[in-house]
Amino acid sequence: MKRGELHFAGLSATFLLHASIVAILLARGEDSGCGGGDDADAAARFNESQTIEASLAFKAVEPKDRQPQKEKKKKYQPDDKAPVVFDPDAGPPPPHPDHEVKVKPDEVDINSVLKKNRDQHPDLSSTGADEIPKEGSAAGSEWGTEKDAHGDPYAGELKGRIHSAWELPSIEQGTGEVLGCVKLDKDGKIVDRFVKKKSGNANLDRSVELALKQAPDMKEPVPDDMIDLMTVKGICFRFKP
Amino acid sequence: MLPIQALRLCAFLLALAPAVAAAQPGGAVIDINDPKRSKYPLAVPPAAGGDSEAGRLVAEVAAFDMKVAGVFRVVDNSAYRGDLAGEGMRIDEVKWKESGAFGVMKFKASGGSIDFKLYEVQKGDRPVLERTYKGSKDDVRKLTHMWCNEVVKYYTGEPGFFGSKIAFVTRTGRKSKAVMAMDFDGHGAYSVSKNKSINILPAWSPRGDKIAFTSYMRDNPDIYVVTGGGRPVRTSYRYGMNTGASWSPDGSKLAVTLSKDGNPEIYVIDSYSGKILRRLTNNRAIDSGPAWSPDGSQIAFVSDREGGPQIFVMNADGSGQKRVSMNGNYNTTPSWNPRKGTRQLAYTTRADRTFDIVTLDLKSGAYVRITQGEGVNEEPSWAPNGRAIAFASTRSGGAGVYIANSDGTGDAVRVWKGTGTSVDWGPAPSQ
Repeated sequence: MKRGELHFAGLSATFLLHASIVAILLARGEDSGCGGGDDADAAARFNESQTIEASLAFKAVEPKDRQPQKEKKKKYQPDDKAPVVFDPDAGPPPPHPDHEVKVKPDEVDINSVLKKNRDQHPDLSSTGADEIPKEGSAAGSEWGTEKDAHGDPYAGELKGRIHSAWELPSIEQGTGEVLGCVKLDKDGKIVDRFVKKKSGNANLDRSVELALKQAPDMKEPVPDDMIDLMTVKGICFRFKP
Repeated sequence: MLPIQALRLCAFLLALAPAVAAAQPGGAVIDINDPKRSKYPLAVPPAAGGDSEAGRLVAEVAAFDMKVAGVFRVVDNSAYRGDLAGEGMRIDEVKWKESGAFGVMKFKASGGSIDFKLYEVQKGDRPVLERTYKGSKDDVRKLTHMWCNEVVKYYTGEPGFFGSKIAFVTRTGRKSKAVMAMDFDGHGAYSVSKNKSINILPAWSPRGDKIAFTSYMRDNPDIYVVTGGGRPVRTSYRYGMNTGASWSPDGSKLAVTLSKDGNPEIYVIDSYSGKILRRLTNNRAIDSGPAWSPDGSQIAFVSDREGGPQIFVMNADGSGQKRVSMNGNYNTTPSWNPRKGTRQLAYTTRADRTFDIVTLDLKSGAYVRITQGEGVNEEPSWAPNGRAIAFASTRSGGAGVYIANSDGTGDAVRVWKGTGTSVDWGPAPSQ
């Protein structure tokens, strides 16, 4: 190729390059509202408003593009860290008060009897009465807790079934206790259920009525040694939220 | 295992013998504590006679209010086996007990008035609350909301939020957005901004008589305040961004974001004159989205000073700025729980490439996710009594404004269908 031809080719390439750049700039100008039309202005404003609505906070930017954020993140807490307690004056939530069982002379507190039993036998006292009961008992009951089963699996399961049916509306913040009783037939079916002593708190009383009504029957017959208690005298539960 | 089981049986038999012997009159007693907590089962049966059209509307409004109140579960009326027509405004408490209801609401609309009665089935057939409201057919919704507020107050000691209003932004054209206001249940929506520009970020004044919002109606993002149905008054129109207003509890001041010096910072301005009273932030990061606490002592805001946008809290004079959101790397749009005695925020968080609403108790640190796996959920705002949260969502049920229980229970209910963003729940209605 001659020198003149080379020069011409170079000029042509330069012209084409400049023309391309101008075309691209013009195209971008139209898109971004640089053309000066009303619609274009509105589009620009709209984009800006979207940005503000996102609290000026990079909503449209993917995390991978935010290098400073990534770098700084290492300096701060991991994502799953518990939120910081902002109020330095606030202490931990108050502990749940223990419900000491007060037994009337004509009633037997089966809890204390069972606990005493466990205390007398080291094998049984490995899960103390104050421990948190674990659902899914060693005795294989889906209703009772391990703690209950250490006293008596059958009574523990019955308690678990009634407990599972007890729901108290969350708006009820009052106190009180209700004595609710059941009697079973020999097959373990609940044949009698009644509130023996009300609390005077309408919601609490109503919740116990419903719990006794909705408690499912036992799947197993009453053990021989508990026939008199479960089918004749009845077994009572002290409901105390 | 065998010796242990034998020992266990012997131990129980030994224990049981005196128990049974001593229990002759009373039997054995086992303690049951810690019941499951649930919503209060409340029945809202059809009207007990009277004007059938008004009665249907009362039933519809009352059932909706009770459903979203945050404390009730509306009992399915089909569970009732009694004679509704026969019992009229009274109740057959035995039959209602069988339905599982704890409470029953009765009402009758006739002759320009509506009679309401509330029963607790455990307390028999004497109403525990009753009211009569007078008004025209156009007032049925309002009167029913008033009654429902009384019911909430009876059970919780706090007023309900029925009759309050929600402001939000909806798209009115390809390049325009309007600030709207509506009843909290989506009825009676009307335009607040009244122009064809882009209007965003509404904020109710504490008394509910004014709305501040950001508008581009004069090309620059400026803050306007509109009173009642009047014309918007331009309150802050400095160079750059004037946006994100939040009212002080006494209504005299606005916390706003201004970028007059080039970088968005938070200022306090006079809500009437727009005069700058104090600059609260001063750093190279973006500070925006102020939200004034209900007691006026603090302001929550969004800042990217530590990387991504996070929620910070500062005293109302700008001191003591401290980051409080520690979950994820994107948290925006803080909103304070207005309930007295609380220090709780709701905000938008990004998780798994979507956006959800969460609450954070600044006293206990308790963190609760209000939405999860339901599309994009953003811009929460609390109900006046703190029992519910309104937010914008694009979930599969359809885009719009939703309200949900603030404890994270139950399903969210859509109250506005269509595009709905920048949600702001107004104050409690004056009864």
